[in-house]
This record gives sequence, C-alpha cells and structure tokens, in this order.
Amino acid sequence: MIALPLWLVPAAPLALILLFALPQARDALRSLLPLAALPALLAALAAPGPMPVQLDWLLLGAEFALNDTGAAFLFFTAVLWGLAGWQALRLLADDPHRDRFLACFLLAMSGNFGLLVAQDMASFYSFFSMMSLASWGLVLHGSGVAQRFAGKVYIAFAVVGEVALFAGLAMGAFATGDLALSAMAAEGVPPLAVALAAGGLLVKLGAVPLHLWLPLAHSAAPAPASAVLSGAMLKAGLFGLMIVLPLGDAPWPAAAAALAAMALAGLVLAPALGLVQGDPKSVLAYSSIGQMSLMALGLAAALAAPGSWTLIAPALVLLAILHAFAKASLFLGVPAVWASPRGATRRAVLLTLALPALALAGLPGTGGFFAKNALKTAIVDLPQGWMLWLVPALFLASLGTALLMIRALLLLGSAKRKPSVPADVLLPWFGLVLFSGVGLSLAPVNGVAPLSIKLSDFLPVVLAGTFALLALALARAAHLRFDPPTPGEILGLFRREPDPKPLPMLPPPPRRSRGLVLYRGRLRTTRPEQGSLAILGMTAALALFALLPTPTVEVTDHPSEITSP
Amino acid sequence: MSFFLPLAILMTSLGVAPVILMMPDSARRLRTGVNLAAASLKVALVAWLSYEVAHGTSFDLRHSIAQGLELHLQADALSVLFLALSSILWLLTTIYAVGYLEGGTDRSRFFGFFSLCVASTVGIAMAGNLFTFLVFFELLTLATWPLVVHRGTSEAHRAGRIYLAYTLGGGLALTLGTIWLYALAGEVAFEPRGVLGDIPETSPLALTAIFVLLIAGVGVKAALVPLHGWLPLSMVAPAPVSALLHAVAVVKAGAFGIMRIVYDVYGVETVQALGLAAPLAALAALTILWGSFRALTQDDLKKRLAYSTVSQVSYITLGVALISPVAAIGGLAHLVHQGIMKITLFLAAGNFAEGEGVKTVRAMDGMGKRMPGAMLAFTVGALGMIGIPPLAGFVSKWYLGAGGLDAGQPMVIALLAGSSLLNAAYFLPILYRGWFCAPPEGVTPGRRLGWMLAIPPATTATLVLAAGLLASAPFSPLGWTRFIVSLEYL
Repeated sequence: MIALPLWLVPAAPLALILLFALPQARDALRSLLPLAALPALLAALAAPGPMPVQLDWLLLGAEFALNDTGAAFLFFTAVLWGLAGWQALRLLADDPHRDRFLACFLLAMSGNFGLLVAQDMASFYSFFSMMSLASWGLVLHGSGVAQRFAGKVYIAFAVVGEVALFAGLAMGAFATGDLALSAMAAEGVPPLAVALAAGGLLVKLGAVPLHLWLPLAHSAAPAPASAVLSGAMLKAGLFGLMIVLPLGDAPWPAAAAALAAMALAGLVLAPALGLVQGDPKSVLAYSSIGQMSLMALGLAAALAAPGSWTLIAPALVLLAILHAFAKASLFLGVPAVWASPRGATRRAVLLTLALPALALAGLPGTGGFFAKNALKTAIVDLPQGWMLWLVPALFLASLGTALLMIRALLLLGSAKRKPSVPADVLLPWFGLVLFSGVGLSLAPVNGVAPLSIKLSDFLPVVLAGTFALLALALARAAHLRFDPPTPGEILGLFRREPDPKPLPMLPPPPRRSRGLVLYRGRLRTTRPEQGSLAILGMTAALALFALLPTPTVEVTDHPSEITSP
Repeated sequence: MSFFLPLAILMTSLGVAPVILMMPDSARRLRTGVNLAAASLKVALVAWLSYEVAHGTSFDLRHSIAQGLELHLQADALSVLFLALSSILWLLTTIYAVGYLEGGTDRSRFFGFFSLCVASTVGIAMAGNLFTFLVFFELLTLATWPLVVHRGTSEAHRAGRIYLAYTLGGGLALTLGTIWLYALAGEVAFEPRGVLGDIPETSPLALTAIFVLLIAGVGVKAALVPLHGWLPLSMVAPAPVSALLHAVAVVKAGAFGIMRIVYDVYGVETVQALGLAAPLAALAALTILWGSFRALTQDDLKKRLAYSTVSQVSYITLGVALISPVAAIGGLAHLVHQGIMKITLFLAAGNFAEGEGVKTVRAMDGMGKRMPGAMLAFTVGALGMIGIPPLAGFVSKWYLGAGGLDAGQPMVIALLAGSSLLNAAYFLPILYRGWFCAPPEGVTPGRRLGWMLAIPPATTATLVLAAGLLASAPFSPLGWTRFIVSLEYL
C-alpha cells in the first residue's frame, strides 16, 4: 500500500475550498465533496498507520501523528463527513446559499480531521477553532428565526469554550515548557489549567450545564450538518478530554466527582427534557446529550479509579463509534422520511431507522449493547459509594435512550412529506445504515472482552416500550394533546425587549436666562482642550503611581541637584 | 559606506515629498509613477538592509547640529522590524490611495504629505538617539495633520484641531522629558539595555519624572487611555489615511517609542528597579479593556475599528511593560501583526464605503454576496484580531499569555481571555451580518472597484494568514522578534 502523507488528511478538504475560488470549476468540484474525506478514511484503515509528520515551520512547530485511539475516531469521523457531505449535496441541490454551506462544511471537516491527528497544542487548537467557527455557518444556514437564535447561543458557547481552552493550554504549556498536547496530562500542570482546558472541551462534548447550545444547534442546522455535529464533532470534545485529563495516573477525586455530577445531570435531564420536544431532530439532540454524558461518566470513573483506565478507554471508543454511526443514521434519516410518501415507503424507512435506534437503546444482540456492556464491565475498583448510584445511573441511561428513540420515531412517523426534498437523499442515508452494520466490525478497536446476554438486559427496552404504549393509550382515551415547550430551555424563557422607538426631537426652548440652561447645548464630545487636560491628568496619575511604592534604589541625591550633568 | 543605506531609505520618501508637492494636480501618471517607484525602491532597500543587519553589519549616519546635539540615524534589529512593516504597508497603502483618491482634488498635496508622513516614520525607526527620535516624531505630527483634514469638511477640521491639540501636547511632554534627560545624562543614544549607567542610583526621582513625561509624550500617539480621544475622531479622514494612522505610522510610532524608551533608553532592569513597569502594565491593561468596551457600542464601522485599535495597540505596550522576554516577543510580534490585521480591516472597510456606500455596522447586511473579496479579507482580519488560530493575532496572544505567567502575573491570562471575548462580541456580529443576512430590499449593485483597491486588502489578508501559519519559519515576524529579544534580554 502506498504510504499516505498524514498532512493530506486535513489538507484535502482545504484544497477543495481553494479550488472553489475558480468559478468555472465549481460545478465539477461540488460532486467531489464526499471524496475530501477519503484520505482520512484511508489513513484510519492503513496498516501499519501513516508515519508521523514533523512540520517545524508551521505555527509554533506542528506535529501530526495517528495513534490507535486517533485512528478509531478518524475512521468514523471520515465515514460520517463523507456520507453527510453526499446527502448535503442532494438536499441543498437548489439552495441559493449552497456554496456558502459547502465552504463552511469543508472547513469544519478539515478542522475535525486535523484535530484528530494534531499532536501539539497550537495545531490542535487551530483545528478545533476552525471546526467550531465553521460550524457556526452550518447552524446559521437556514437564516430563519430559529437559526438566528440557535446561532447566537451556539457562537456564544463556542467562543467562551475556545477562550477557556486557550487559557488552559497556555497555562499548561508554561508549566511544563512542553507544547505537546499530551503534556497537559503530565505532572506539574496546575489543576486550574486542566480544568479550563477540560471546560472548553466539555462545551463541545455537550456536558450539562454547558449543553444549552446543543439541542438548538442540532434542530436549526440542515440534517446532514446535524449528523456530523452530533456524530463527529461532539466526539472531538471526548477525544480532547481523553488526552488532556490525567487519566490512568493518580486518582483525582474532586475532578471525578465534578465530572460525575455533570454526567449524572445529563443522564437525568436528557430524557426529561427531550421527551417533551416536538421536533424529532431536537429529540435526537437530547439523546446525544444523554449518550455523551454516559461517556463523560466513563471519564469520571477513570479519574476516580485510574487502574481501570486501560479497560475504560476502549469501551469509550466503542461507545463513541456506535453513537456516531447510529445517531448519524438517524439524523440522515430525517430527510429520508421527509422524502418518502406515507404508506409502504414510509414504513420501510421507519423500520430501517428502528435498527440504529434499537442499537442506541442497547438492545441485546446489537452493537450498542456490546459497547454499553464493555463500559459496565470496565468500571471496577471504584471508591465506596460510587457503585451505589452507578448501576441505577447506567440503567437510567438505557431506559432514557429507549424512550427518546421511541419518541423520535413516533414524531418522524407523523412528519409531513416535504415535496422539496429530493428522493435521492435516501441513498447516502441507506449507505450509512448499511455501513454501520459492517462498520463496527471494521473499526480498529481492541481490548474489549466478549459477553453473555442475560434476560434482565432486555428490561430497559421492554420497559420503555410498555411506557410508550401506556402513554399513547392514555392520550387517546382522554383526548389529550401535547404542546411542546419553546426550545432553548432556560434561554427560551427570555425575550429581548425591542429597542424603544426614538423619540421625536423637540427644538430646544428659547433661552431666557443663563442660570436655567447651564448645560444645554454643550457638545458632549471630545474637545481640543481635553487633550492637554488628559495629558496633565495622566502625567499626574503616573507620577503618583510611580511614587507610591518606594523604589528599591537608594535615594542619595536631592532632586534639585539634577540640572548639572 | 555604512551611511548609504539609511540615507537612501530616508530619501526615498523624504526626497520624493517635495517633488510630489510641486507637481500640478493634473500630472496624474507622473505622480503615480514617482510614488510607486519610490515605494517599491524602499521595500527593496529595506530588504537589503534587513539582510545586512541580520548578518551583523552596523550602519551609522551622524550630523552634528550643536555641541552635544547630533542627528543620528542607525539601523538595529528593532529598526528593521518597524522599517519592514512600514515600507511594505506603505507600498500597499500607496497603491490603495492612488485607486481611492485619484478622482478627487488636491492630490499633489495629499501624496506629498503622505510621503512626508512615511519619511518621518522611517526616521523614527532609524533614529539613533532620543533627539533624532523627537525631531522625526514631531515631523510626523505635522505631516499627518493635512491628511486628517484632507476632505476639508467642518467635521474634518474639528478632528484635525483635536488631533493637533493632543499630539502637540504630547510632543511638548516628550520635548520636556528629552531636554531634562539630556541635561541629566548628556547625549542619550539608543543602546540595548539602556544608557543611563549609574544615574538611577543617584537621582531616581528625576528619572521617574522624566519617564512619566516621555511615556505621556509617546502615549498620545500610542492612544493609551486617557490620551486616546483623538484617534476615534480622526476616522473622518479618507480610508488610506486611517490605514496610515492605525497600522503604518502614527499609532505604531507611539508604540515603537515606548519600546525605545523602555528597552534602549532606560533598559528593562532600570524600569523595574524604579517601580515603573507595573503602572505602565496596569495602564496598558486598562486601555485594552476600555478600548474593547467602547468598541462594542459603535455603529460606525470605522469608529468601531478605531476603538479596536486603542485596545490592540496596548497589547504591544503590555508586552513591553511585563518585563519578561516571552511577553516582549509577544508585544514586538504584535507590532507587526496588529499592523497587518488592522490595515486589512481598514482597507476592506474603505472598499465597503467606496463600492457600496456602506459605512455602518447596521448596513453590513449581505456584504458577503455584494463584495465577497473584501468581506473575506475583513473576515480574516477580524478573526485574527479575536486571536483565532492559525491567524497572526493568535501568535501574539499566545506569547503574551505565556509572558504574563513568566512575569508572575497570571491575571494577564484573564485579561487576554476577557479581551478576546470582547473582540468576538464586536467583530462577530459584523461577520454575521455580512455573511448570513440577506442584502436589504432594493439595494442596487454599487460600482466595481479596480485592482488598485482590491489587491492591497487581499495581500494583507494573506500576510495575516502567513504570519500565523508560518510563525516558526525563519524571517517570520515572530522569528525576527525572537532575534531582537535575545539582544535585549540575554
């Protein structure tokens, strides 16, 4: 096999953008969009993996390499971006702003690929921000009210996350003097630095309470963009956390407790808030929060019991792969449902969609069950007290996911057909569902033990099904209708007051006496004499400042003697 | 021959200025030819000079005026940094100004003073002692005034008056400080690590007072709060002048002056020993936040950019005042980085005004469709200002942050984070409007801009990207500043 240069992985989408500058070539280039993910896929599957690349002249000295975890992430990331890109081409075939979307899509794709191979802080941070900022364009694409709101919330969270990541990385780099990203997990890095960097990554991961942007963005973006947001980009947060957190070293109980609290909140909130949503994409987004919280729980467990990290890490990778494929299949399935008329086609599409849904819910026999079980068996040696709530939490996660999946499928089943959506959006979606089946066996993960199925493992799915049937029956019998709340959770409760209308200007009243009109008519802007005043003021202030702390130099001369040189 | 290059570089603009001033307004081709030839020649000469300085050649040009008072031009690594920045940006600004103003009136006056302005900048960059610095610094004040009032409107005249009041006041403080220091120390040449010898031990109070006077003098041009009032008002000037004020000459001359005073007159140890570094850093921090804060509420595009300059230029001062080699690298690199980013923004804003008549943030809707090239350049400049990697601003911020930690001031990280958030808060809405809002109903396509207006912002935007991406390459701004700082601190 030809050795693939690793820099080609992020460079391929960028090259395509550069070529986009030629208007004549655009039509031909557009159809190449899915192929921009090909180098990444080849690099992920290559055995032996591509050689590391050292680029001393790039940024602060960049290094690209692909380790086992990176290869697993790059594998599903590449598949998702490729297939989502294909569907985006079909879905947006007649969109006037298609090229703007595709440019943002390619930029975010390059960022997502790049951060998985970047080994140093500067290039990781560059790719990470490129992905975050370019995704703003994906969220805003529809330019409706929902998109504007989602875009605002998204960019606010993204920028705050970036800044926290910057601060954390800068502090870490200074403490160790090492620009390698993995140095963040080394000894001697101040806990504040790790916390800041992790905070920035947790925003991307969608951990509660930093998740507010997530449901809004996912339901506002076009479906292929939601698929990569949820399937690939959230995982970038997980990937970063797996590197910067000091996992597998000494236990760090405080951080473990904080992360576990966030994860638990996510596991509870995701079904609670997701079930009441009226938009299937929003329901799917809440399910992503739950699933990502499950992965955060794995990280928390590894922080509490470092000994189990060697088992937890492959389990997390497996969970990430499974969630990526299943959730992306569901998101790409949304336009597929829109494109299919009610009747046999719709039923076939929904039945196919039930496969990834069941896998996510962890039905025994599916990959989802396998992955969840891997996590469950990996978490051992935990401190006293953790086990008390961990088992119920894992059960809750499965139950919540199953309920959310049923809700999403029900909403999709009753969705109206959109004649504007072309039928060929079905192809990439079907490709992904097929690939998901094969994909898990292809994915480069090792170190997970085989398992046996117990009858009790069916309990979450069965319970969820029963709940759903009961709820449906109840609603039908009592003639109840359900009105979903406004999106945005706490942010949705606020409305910005419209700007007050400017008052009509009144002419100033005639001047009668000076005493009453002391300040009227005075210009409120800077005036010339203020320049000299400001200089005087600053001189005085600086002099005062400088005189306050006694200078360390001895005062031996009187200042009046200075005139003689 | 060591005097030839500095003299030649100075004369490419100082000698050209009277020639252009005397041309009739109608001699358009000749004037443009002379302008561009001089600017290109200067870039070539500066490139030659940089090569020589990097290989250790020293340059010296002295002219004695009176006993103990001489004009002295030299070229050290710090000069070359400022020279390279101003000569390359001057060439681009000249091209832009020709495209922008050659339809208007009083062009010979404009381009004459334009050359004079850059001549003073060159003089400031190559000044070998405080007196020479002062002479060119004052010349810059006077040469810029006709450019600020170029349009001749009452608003322009008001801005011009205020500009003069501030800068002449600052010049007075600088002059007083210079005279006092000459009286105290004899000739004050610029030498790495300062020239004051044992004076700090004998008369610290006088030196403190002189430092305050000098910093107040150059601080006006560097737009340190509260001396920044003239800068946002001067944005009434034509776009190339704004570019000159904000990126190439005036504001940069102030920041460069702060560097010279701290590094080459006092020396960092003396500044620290006198307890002057902390107040200066505090002032810079205040300016960074205040400028960003004021920028938030400006609807006029150029005014928002002007307040952003107030904030960003103080990064340079902060880098100098933190007294840490790492922070110094950040500050010095930002001298170049801020220049190329801000000139990109102003040139793009000038194109918006010229092409579509868009002058306010509110009117930016749909600029991505209306003027994609200019909007792309603006985007690169704005993201660079926020500090998004891999653009130039990220590199300076990274070094400033590390420098803050190095100097034992972790609050600098919080300051940079806060400033980045504020920058994002006033730049991202512009990008949002430009790319994601539909153009207003019934807007007619504006006039097509020629290559003279389109090429300069595209070039500087490319430079912003290159300065960040290739930061570790030799001869990048970062590489050159590392070289300078090694001279100052090792």
